[in-house]
Amino acid sequence: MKKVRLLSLLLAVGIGLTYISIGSLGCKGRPSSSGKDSTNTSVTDSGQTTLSPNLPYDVTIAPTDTVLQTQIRADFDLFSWESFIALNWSPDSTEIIGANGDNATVWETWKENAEVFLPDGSKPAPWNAALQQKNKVLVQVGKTPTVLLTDVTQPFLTGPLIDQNGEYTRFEIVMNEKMFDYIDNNVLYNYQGQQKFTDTIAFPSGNNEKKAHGAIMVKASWKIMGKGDDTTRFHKTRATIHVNAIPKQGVKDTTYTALVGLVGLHIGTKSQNNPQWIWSTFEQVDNAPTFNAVKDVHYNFYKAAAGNNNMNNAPAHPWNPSIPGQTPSQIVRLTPIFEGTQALNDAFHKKLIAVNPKTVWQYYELVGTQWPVHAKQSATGDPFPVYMANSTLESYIQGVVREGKISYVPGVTSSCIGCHNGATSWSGRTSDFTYLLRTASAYKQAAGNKKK
Amino acid sequence: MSNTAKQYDVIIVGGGWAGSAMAYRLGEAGKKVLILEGGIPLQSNNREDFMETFFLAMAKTPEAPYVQNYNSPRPSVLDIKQITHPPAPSVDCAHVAESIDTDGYFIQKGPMPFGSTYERLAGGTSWHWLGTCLRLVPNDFKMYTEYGVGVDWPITYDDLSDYYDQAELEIGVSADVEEQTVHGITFSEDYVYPMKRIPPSVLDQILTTELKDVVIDGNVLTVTGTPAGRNGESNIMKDGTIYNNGRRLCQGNTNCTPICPIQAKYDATITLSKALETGNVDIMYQTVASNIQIDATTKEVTGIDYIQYETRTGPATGKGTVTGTKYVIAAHAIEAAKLLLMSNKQISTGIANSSGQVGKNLMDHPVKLSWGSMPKPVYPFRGPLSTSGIETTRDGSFRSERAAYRIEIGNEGWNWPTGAPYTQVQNYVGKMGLMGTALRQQIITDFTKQFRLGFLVEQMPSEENYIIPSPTCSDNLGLPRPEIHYNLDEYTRAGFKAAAEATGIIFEALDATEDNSTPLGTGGFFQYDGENYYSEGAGHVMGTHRMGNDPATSVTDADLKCWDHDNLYLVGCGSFPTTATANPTLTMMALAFKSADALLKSLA
Amino acid sequence: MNLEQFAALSQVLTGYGQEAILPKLDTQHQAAEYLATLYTPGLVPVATLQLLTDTWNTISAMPQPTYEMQVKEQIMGNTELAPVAKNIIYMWFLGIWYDLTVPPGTSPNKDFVVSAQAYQNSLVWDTMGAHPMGYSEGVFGYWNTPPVIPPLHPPIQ
Repeated sequence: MKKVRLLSLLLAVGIGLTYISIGSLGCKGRPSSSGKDSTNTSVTDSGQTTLSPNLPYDVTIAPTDTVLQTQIRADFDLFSWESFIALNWSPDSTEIIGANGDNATVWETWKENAEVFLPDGSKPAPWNAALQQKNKVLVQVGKTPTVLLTDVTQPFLTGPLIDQNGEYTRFEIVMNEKMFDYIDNNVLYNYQGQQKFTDTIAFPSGNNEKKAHGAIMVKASWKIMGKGDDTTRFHKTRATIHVNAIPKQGVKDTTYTALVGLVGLHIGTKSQNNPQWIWSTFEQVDNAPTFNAVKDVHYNFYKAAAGNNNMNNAPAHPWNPSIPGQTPSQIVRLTPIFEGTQALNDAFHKKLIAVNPKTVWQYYELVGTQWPVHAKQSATGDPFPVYMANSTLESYIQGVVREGKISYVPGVTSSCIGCHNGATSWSGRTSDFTYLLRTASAYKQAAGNKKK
Repeated sequence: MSNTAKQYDVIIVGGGWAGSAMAYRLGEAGKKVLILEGGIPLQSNNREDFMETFFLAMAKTPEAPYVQNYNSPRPSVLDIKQITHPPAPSVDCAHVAESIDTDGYFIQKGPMPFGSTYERLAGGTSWHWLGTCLRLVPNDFKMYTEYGVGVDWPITYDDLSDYYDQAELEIGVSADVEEQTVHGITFSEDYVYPMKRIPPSVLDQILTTELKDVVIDGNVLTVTGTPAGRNGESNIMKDGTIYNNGRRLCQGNTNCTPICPIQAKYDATITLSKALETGNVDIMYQTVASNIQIDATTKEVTGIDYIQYETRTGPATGKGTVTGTKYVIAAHAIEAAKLLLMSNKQISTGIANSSGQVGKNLMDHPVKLSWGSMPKPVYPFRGPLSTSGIETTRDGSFRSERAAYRIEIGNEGWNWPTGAPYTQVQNYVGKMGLMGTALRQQIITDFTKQFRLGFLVEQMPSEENYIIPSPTCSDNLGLPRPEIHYNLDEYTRAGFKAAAEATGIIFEALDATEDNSTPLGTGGFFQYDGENYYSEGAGHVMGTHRMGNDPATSVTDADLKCWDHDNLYLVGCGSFPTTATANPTLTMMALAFKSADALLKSLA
Repeated sequence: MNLEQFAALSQVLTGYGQEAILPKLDTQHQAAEYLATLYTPGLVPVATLQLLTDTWNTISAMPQPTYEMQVKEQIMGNTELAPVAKNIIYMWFLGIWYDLTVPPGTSPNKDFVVSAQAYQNSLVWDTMGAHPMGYSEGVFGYWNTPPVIPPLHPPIQ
């Protein structure tokens, strides 16, 4: 504790002046301690902005913030960064984020999708952060959970993302306790329960007045650390990599452990003011160049020498992680990060570096935050920015380039809200912007019960 | 591309629907397959690209999303015009691009123009199919025996029933079993469609109620949900698992044709991807089959010659020959017939043509559109293009006299017949001078009540309806364009007359007012019994390499193997001996699976 | 004509209010795109655009309840301005710019869809309680029940 306080003090003195500009962005809906988190670990800079373990509840736009493209956007981007910091805080709260370079994170104690929607449709184990994800198993090689490589009848719909070492990127989806409880209490974890549930599915909403958190889901993408990767630039963990057998394709059941580094992080937050959810998306800074702005650096998913012929195009079939020496994906970010967002990235990076110059978290950047501008106007609530893509999660639907010009296509080019608006449960009814309910299985009664 | 050196079990010409289905089955079974696809490659951004083109197109035709490719050209509905006699193209077809842009890809010789179109790219015409997955009724397979017209199929409904199951699973069909048992259609025990019936539109519900006691030619006009290859609510399958194809549920974009923006509608790229995913299937894109080689002694096919290109307008950039043990032509009814007939260097009549039937019996489901206004709002332009239809009219003793029809209920107002909403808004503003609230009021009053029915009329095989490779006009690769000779016979025209009479009865029952203006597409104009009719293309191109029991009158056997060449299979709607009235795709895929089974057996 | 003037005129021409034409928080910039289209060199003579601006300025100085009547008379009733005003309506309702240099319906012509987004936002669909074909924000099965038709503002006398 002492050490932490000392750091706080140092930071407050050291960076107080540098970050006044961040303060001017405003900081709405600052939560008090969420209960279990210790406020002692906060790092403040003259009360302007903080690195805090406290997860924000919602965004309330300040009456003085009237310009959508800059001011209001900044409110949401700040919410995203605060969420990122809080979610990547050490789960036991004993140290400041990145104080030791890297750290275990809060979101990695949340329930993984596969822990909620069990293969037999039975009731999931109760929430227990100490047990969840004890052993991280990464199976998903596509963005959506149906892409499990379980058998040949389950096609990849979007295609895998292959890094410069020919390794498949792995994905996982986790949810917080609020979201889990809603699924658990309403028996939405199996087909039959979803059929029976005739109310409108509405996950709990984050609420600033009530100081309540809502449902939050996190989608993460990981790359296997290998040749050319500077491991000091990634949040890392050891994970069990599992490839299910596909005998017809000669894919053998394979399991091994590997050091994996976080390359992408989506945070979806349901809130009172933003019933279409707030969608925050972060990436590791080395992922991919921005269109027409390639730098002479090592990218995770781009190689200058490979040219742009196969840019943002899924690899050739078959998509099989076991085949050695596969051609890497050639990914380019089509939409540059907005300058205001980039300024906030720089500000938070400095703040993180002030904690520890070797912090891995300085290598993550906010790509954008999408929210419904007119939440009540329509089903999608007029999302802004209109299009948003994480280059590791929506690699192949970022827009089309025609004669050097980028076109974004309504209803097709990546928009978090635009796509998730179509999500349904197995009943065909809307599922409140998450596709996860469709990973539920049908409940099969145990053989013993059946005889009765 | 140096795939040519590799030895394949099967060469498939065409990466469309039937070709993908064959490739998937064969690849799954461990056979080495090569697909030659004439069109552009399957890429991640295809749908974005096509949607952008669609959004920017002034005419939202079925072809609108897909840019013309002069090295693998396709017809467009905008080219369907009445034919002058003798036919006089406005541009010399030596100027390939200009000629195709102006007069269309087809060389239409008439007397009526052939009204249907298709696409030539990976996934084929499935990119703009409607999604209808009706089974044929048992009598459709025996038109000659039952009604003394046309010919019988070499198979019965029962022969195809299991393959229908397979096709419905692969496509992912949403329908209700009980509703589909029309005119003797049966299902295997405990059968469930992968998904439940797509919810009916507001219009469907009104028609269901208002027409339930109306009888035409002995058939009650029962409105039923149309089986659809689009995603609905999943069923639990026989094995206890939930049907799940991983794609989104339909969001009612009302755009199945020309393109579903969210791929809630099945298209053949899904099966093509699965075929490639087996690891046993290779594909060569922008590779157009130009000739089928045969061994003069054994009559077996020995190779397929191809031509390659780099850009849609550029020159040929490569050529070669691919070889395999077996060969499948799955190039679309018109293109397949064209390829067989233009492969005439070794046999002057072309390949597989000892019967003389290749390219003959070209058929469609000529459509009679009927449209009007309901007394109450029915709210068009919402939901899939069509969610329900009337299937009871598809069979009856009248079929010995006149063509049967099915009735498709459209959810897109007057879009098809009149180009709504564009033409009307131009009328309101341009001619009537409406603006502001008055304009909005007019739109609400008129548009919300508009609806249309489509009568898909059956057509009988005829040697007078045929396609041959044009002796004078070529595409940009120098390959002949299809020359088409086409007409509607007395039987089909009588079907139109019956459809017009049914329109009167239905509209009266609905208390609806028919709009009698001339439709947008006037190419299919004809007169019958003193009345004017307009026939529209359904996109259901059938009959050019029909199957049968007799080598003298058919091109293939019931396994779609050529009578003339033991290692050559012809799959696709060209196999259909008669058209029946159901949209043909489901039957085509079922036949492709049947053929794949036979082909596999022959390789074993 | 500036954006505010264009938006005000557009409201009268379309019968849609400020929030639809030029919302305070504007994610689409649809009015700006149509204004830019209107001023694309070669589409409308500069003098005609000036006359349109002047005429609207005169009208907008009058009491608001007379706008509709005045636009009808002075703009829709003016042979030089009517085609331009009608094209503004077409842009809003259909997302299309019709070639003014040839009679309507002539082929070939230089008609064009302003942009994919213009098509997505075209108002004819919204007016009748539908959505542009190919762009639906509806959820599965929405077509099973009637839509809510967006209410009309009472006609301005």
